[in-house]
Amino acid sequence: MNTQILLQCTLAALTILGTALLGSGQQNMTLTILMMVAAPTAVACTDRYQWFRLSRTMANLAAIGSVAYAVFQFASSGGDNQLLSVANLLVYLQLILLFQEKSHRLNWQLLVLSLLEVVVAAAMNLNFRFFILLLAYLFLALVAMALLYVLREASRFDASADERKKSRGAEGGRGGERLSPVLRSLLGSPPQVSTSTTRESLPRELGRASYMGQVGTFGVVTLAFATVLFYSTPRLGGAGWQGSRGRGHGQATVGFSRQISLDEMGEILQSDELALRISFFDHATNEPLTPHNEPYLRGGVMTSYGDSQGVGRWTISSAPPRGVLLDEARSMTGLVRQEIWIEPTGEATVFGAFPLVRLPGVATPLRLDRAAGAVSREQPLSGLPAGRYHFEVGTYSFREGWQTAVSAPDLAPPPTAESAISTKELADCLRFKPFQFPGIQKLARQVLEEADATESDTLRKARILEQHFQQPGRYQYSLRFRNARNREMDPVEDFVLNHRTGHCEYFATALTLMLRSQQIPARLVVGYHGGEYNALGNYYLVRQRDAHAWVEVWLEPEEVALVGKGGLPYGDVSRGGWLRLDPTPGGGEANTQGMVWNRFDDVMEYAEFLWSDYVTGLNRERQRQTFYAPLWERVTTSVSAFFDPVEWRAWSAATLSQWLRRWGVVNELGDFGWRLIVGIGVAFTMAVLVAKPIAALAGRAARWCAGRLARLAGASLGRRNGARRGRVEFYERFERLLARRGVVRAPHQTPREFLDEASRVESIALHRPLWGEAAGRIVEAFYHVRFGGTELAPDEAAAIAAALRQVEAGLAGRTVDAPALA
Amino acid sequence: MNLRPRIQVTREGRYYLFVLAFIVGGAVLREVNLLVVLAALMAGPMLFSWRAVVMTLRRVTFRRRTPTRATAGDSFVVTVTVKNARRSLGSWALTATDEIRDLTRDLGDPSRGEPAAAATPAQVFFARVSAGEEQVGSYRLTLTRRGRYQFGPLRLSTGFPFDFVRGTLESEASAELLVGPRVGRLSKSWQRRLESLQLGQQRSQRRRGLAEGDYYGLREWRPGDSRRWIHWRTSAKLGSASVLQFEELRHRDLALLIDLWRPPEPTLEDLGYVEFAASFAATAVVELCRRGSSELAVAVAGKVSGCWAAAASRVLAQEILDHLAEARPYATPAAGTSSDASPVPSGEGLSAAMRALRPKLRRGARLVVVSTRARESMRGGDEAEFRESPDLAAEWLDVRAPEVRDLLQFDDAREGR
Repeated sequence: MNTQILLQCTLAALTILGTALLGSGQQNMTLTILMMVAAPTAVACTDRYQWFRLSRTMANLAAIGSVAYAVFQFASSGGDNQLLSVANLLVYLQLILLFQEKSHRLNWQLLVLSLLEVVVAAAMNLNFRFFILLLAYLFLALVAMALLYVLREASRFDASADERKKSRGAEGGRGGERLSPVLRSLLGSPPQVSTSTTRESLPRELGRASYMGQVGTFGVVTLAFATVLFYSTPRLGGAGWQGSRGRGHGQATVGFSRQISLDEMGEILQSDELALRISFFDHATNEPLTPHNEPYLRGGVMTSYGDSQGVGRWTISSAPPRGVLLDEARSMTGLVRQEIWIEPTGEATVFGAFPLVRLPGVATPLRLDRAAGAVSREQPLSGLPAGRYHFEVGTYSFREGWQTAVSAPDLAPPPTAESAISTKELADCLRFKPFQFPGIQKLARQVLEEADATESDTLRKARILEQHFQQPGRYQYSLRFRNARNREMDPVEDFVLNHRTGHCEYFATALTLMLRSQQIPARLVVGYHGGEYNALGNYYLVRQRDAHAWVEVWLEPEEVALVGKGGLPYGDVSRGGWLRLDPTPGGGEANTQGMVWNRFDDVMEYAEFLWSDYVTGLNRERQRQTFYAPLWERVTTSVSAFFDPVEWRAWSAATLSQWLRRWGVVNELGDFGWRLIVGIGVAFTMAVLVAKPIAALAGRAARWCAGRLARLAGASLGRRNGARRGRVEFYERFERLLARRGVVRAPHQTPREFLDEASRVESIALHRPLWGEAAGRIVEAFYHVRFGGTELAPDEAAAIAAALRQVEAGLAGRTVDAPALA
Repeated sequence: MNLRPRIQVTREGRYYLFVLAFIVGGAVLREVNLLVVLAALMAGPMLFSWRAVVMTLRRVTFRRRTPTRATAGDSFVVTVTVKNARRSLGSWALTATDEIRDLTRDLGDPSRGEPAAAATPAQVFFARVSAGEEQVGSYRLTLTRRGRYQFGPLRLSTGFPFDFVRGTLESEASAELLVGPRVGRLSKSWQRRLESLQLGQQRSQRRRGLAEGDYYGLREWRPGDSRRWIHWRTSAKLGSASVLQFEELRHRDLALLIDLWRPPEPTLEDLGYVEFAASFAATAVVELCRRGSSELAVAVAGKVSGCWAAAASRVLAQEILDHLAEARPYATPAAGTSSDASPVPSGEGLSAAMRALRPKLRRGARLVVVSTRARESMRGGDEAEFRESPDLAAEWLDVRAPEVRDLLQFDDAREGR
């Protein structure tokens, strides 16, 4: 294919890719589709077949129109949209350029505009898919730049040919056309040069030399270099370094607010936004732990329910306390480490498998709000730091790979306390107004009576009420049920008595109220349940749609024992614990077996995770952890090992002694022996490393001193007799004049040889007629003085001085009158 | 010769750096890591371009080879050799740029402040010179004007791979080339005329020494040489047979005087006649020397006059052509103007050439003057010189006369080039 067309195709692909990157950033692919149509059309109609080309005037008008439209868009929008209007202007300008006749400059403009597009896109888009497109863009851009280079090199040859043609034309235009052909041909023209390389052959020549292969290699090396540069460039400033979109004020999350309404949850459950990632590890072995059931990740607990204007609301009754530090893990047995990355959010609440404990030796700036049953990160006065929040915390809520049904209280109770929870907490969990929820109370009693469990223990009652909701066909899980609601009734009463359709929060609220109506302490828990397990990265990817609400029932110690070992955690539940009940239909065991077609998703998701963790989220602290600290540790370890005599001794004992024994030098290397050998080795190495530079420096210093002394001696003698010891002042001045023009006499050259060579030096040869003769006289005079043993007569000295002036002027292209040498 | 490359950031490189700086600025100010990624990706090509250029030119030597002499209108090849002395790593996309400069451009006169001719570039491209290898490239050059040409400086440059950075090695070794006047073909009638003038109607057969001619020197004996010519004393001394060499010495009965005169304010046509005269003289000298075996005296009246008298030989022809290559026309006042204006310096012009030539002419010698003016237009010293030599049988060829111009033909001139 023609190189020019190949370049246009590459540039068209670049513009499409650049616009696609921009489109993915602004979530609008209209311009991308437009560019996908326009760019190939331009290559075909404008570049290949030349059917249509925008004239310069048309192009200028179109550009002015585009700018005006972009300015209008800019003025009538705000925030990110202003940036988008600038980005769109780049696309418009590219569209105009695509339909113009291409020149080297115009091709470069296309490339630069496309690059600027990518810059804007990079400021708006942070996901990994962007990076994949960026890599494709990089290689295309390298190819485009390489083709531009090839064509530019080719144009150099064309340009010189054009220049020659022009000069030939100019020659003929100076009245030469009136001359006879013979005289015209004799007057001649400028030199005519022809070379085998042409605009067409140069790309072929480079192609034969596999130029593009080299460019590919450059691409790979560039990637490696970019990686090192990216990680080594210090991230100065604050803890930002996220990207404009990454520094938003957070998205909706559950479990963090001190008040939530039932309808909010319905909206959240329809969102695919990423909420968090969580990994579980056996803290003792550091092996990844894959729970057999989908984990419940608590955000907070709600204790007070009420109906306000037909909307059910859960609130926390007490005022928010400052919070207390988490307990520290006391035993390694059953301790599971949770590594959690919470996506940017405006709230401080964290999620995890509760109860959370601090890991030994890990500073975890987390505080527990006992009333809310929530753990929050410490919030500085300046607000939460931007970006994803990463922390590690422990838990005892897993047993043999299962998240247990019963969990210990959030804080270990004082040894003197009778119960693990306070009376107030218990009272909050029993708060129920029978007149407000008569239907619920009646239903609960009815369910228990039907199961003949009115006199049973708390555990059995709770299980029966939980199963009431899970029986197939009785209740229906749905996020869209507002039409079925009776606005006159409490939403939960309406749910259990009438439409029986709702989402998890309805189920959990109904169960909580039913339990309380039967004097069973219960609370509503909000958080996340399940998520997508990534087998490659061994973590759960939790989205907003995984938000969930469930119920916790307080069990007294004697009732905890009834749960059975399988449902108990490793923590202390000897003074009671919280039993988890999930009335929402569905759920169950985790699906952690990746399907073949899911593996790709896993890979992409994990890459996305790594990308966001190690690239877009790389801030000063992260950089210190992932790059500087390991590097520094490696360096310091190596250096300290190098200077550590113990290491050397160990090495000599292991290696050196063995060699010496093998060579039969010595059987046993004593203490003195190894010191001696190591000393010799170090001395030799130092000598090799240091001797050469020192010798070079010493040589240079010696030469400098010798030269200095010689000059001093020469100056001293020269005062007495300027012609002695080879020193001839006027000749030295002559050499200095030439040296100013970059022509320096080599030590081996005689003055005549030097003059001969100087006459051929390009920079001064042009003016040789002006200085050559005078220079010859000076050199001849030098021989007379230096080797003839005579000194210059006054008139000769004057003539030489004049000759020097003539040389000085001649070298500068000027002339002076010079008297002849007498 | 290890030359240090001159590294320059090209215009494209500056654009690229500007965009890179913009991205770096954006990355730092907005703290966007993706912009750092982009900047790092962009920094690679820039840095590697620089490195590639430096590496490509390291330990690379190059030279040019030109012929020592040429004739105007001839086409010849100039070779450029590039050697990559590295043990590994090839050199890519090298462009050797040579410059050809006319040092004695006839159309311009440096003494009158006219600018020298602009240098003509010539380029040779080397796609790849592998490590340890040498490659030869060439360009074909046609010099249509006589004169002294200078080649150089020779530059070797590369912008591989993206032309963001361009490295150039410059070799100061320049070369010079003398380009003689264009040699054409004399008409048949003039060839015969020259022959007769050369041999002379009154050819004197006075021979000195042996019958074959004057003693010229000694040389080794060759088969066919007469035994009479063996110089026994020298043969005994050298241990091998040496023979006497004789030269048939004839009278200096033909002399050429080339008068490169031009008016003080010459037109292009005047200069064209000067070139024609030079070409005519060159053609005649080449023709006469090709025949050889005669004595020839030639004088050139120009800015710098020259005079030669020797046996016609290629060496003599070359010497005269070398002078003609650089010969510049001289100017005297045209007929009818004041004789005080623009006096001709004593070392130049027709009179100076005549003064140099006269001692070398024998009585009755035939002088052919090839001039750019009519004999009648001679004035002052020039005319006096000819008056002082009444015995000199001079034939005056004014190249302005159409019949004289028909005496010399050029192959391509007929084609209307």
